[in-house]
Amino acid sequence: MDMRLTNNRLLAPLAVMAVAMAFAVDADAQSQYDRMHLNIGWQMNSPFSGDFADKLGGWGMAFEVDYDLAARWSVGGFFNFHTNHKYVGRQTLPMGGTGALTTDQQRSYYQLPFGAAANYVLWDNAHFRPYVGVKAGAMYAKATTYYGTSGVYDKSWGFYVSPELGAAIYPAAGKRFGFRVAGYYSYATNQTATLTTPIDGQSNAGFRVGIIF
Amino acid sequence: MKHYLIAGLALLAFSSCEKDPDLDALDTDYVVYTEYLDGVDFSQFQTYYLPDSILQPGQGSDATYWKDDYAQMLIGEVKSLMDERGFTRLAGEQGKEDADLGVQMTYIAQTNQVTTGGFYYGWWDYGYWGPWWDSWYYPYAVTYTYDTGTLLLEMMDLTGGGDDGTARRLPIVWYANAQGYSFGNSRADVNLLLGAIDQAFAQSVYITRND
Repeated sequence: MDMRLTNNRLLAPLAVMAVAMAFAVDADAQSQYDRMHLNIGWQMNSPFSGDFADKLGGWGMAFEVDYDLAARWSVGGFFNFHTNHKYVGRQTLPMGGTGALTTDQQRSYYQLPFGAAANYVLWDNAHFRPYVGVKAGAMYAKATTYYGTSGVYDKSWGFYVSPELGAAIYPAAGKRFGFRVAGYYSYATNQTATLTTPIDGQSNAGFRVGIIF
Repeated sequence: MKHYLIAGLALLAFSSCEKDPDLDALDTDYVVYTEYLDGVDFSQFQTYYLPDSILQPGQGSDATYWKDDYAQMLIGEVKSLMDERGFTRLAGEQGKEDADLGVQMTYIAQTNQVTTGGFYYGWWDYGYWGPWWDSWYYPYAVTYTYDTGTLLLEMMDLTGGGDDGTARRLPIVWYANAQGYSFGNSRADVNLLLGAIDQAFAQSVYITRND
């Protein structure tokens, strides 16, 4: 449950977000309106670098505000959250050198990354705009192992980075409303430990489906 | 744009961040933890003394002992497993003095009071009220109770005893702690405890005189 991210390191992505937001207040109101976009999406996520809770799950959402810097470039801020669960059947776990614990487990891994986002549009079309993007910032994580009548948990902070490939789809050309789909990979440096399954850095892969306006 | 922002913020407000897992997936068997004294060789012991009752602390100022048929089933299970491992049970006061090992059993029944809600295994399933609910929200404290049982098995090395007037500390060479929910049905609870005793010995294969 230790804090692994110093305050200065935490401030860095927030500063980037502040710069991004500064662009939004710099231009006139109409320009701001035209250039700002809000994305809200549902996501399916699977942690895969360890076996703590490596099950594909859909308990997550993603939020992103983007500002169009240029025709193909946009920057902004994001946060998303996700919980993955995994049931582990009854087994005997060695504890220390002379102990043993027999139980089943219900594991839960909660991730909440936030920070700055940048996107580059690969192909500018009125209806279909594929893009590549990257998100970077900090992540809060909480790993919980429920067993018997109670459970143990561990919380940590870490750095977060996530490249993604996606597309914005506009059914009506020239309108703000559209859909956004994306596949992503992410890695965070969070370290947690519950019972006998420590997490030392967490990779994820998943996809998002949402709306953009 | 304002409407979109309001809609987005409302969606955010109504979305619950952390999703609780399905705790009903956990089985009802007791969680069993065992530990032994590093370096002890159980094959050096031949005999053991096992009282015919189970201590129940917390029942008043005096010690209370559980002695009914269900208690005898639990004690008999320990005896059976110890005998299988090659040890011989001694009885009577002389047997207690002569035994190499002492085995004591303790059962702690506990009623737990919780002043929050929706988190306890066995609570109402929020999904009952519709698939769109993903957790509980209690705007005020809610109190409820649930019962748990803990069975402790402790094995003492009695070989260093004697009445020469020297003060000695009684070494615990093996310890087992089994804990789980108590369902208020004596037969069902005893079955869970019997399973816990079996598991405690199953994961303690070093307790043996057999080659």
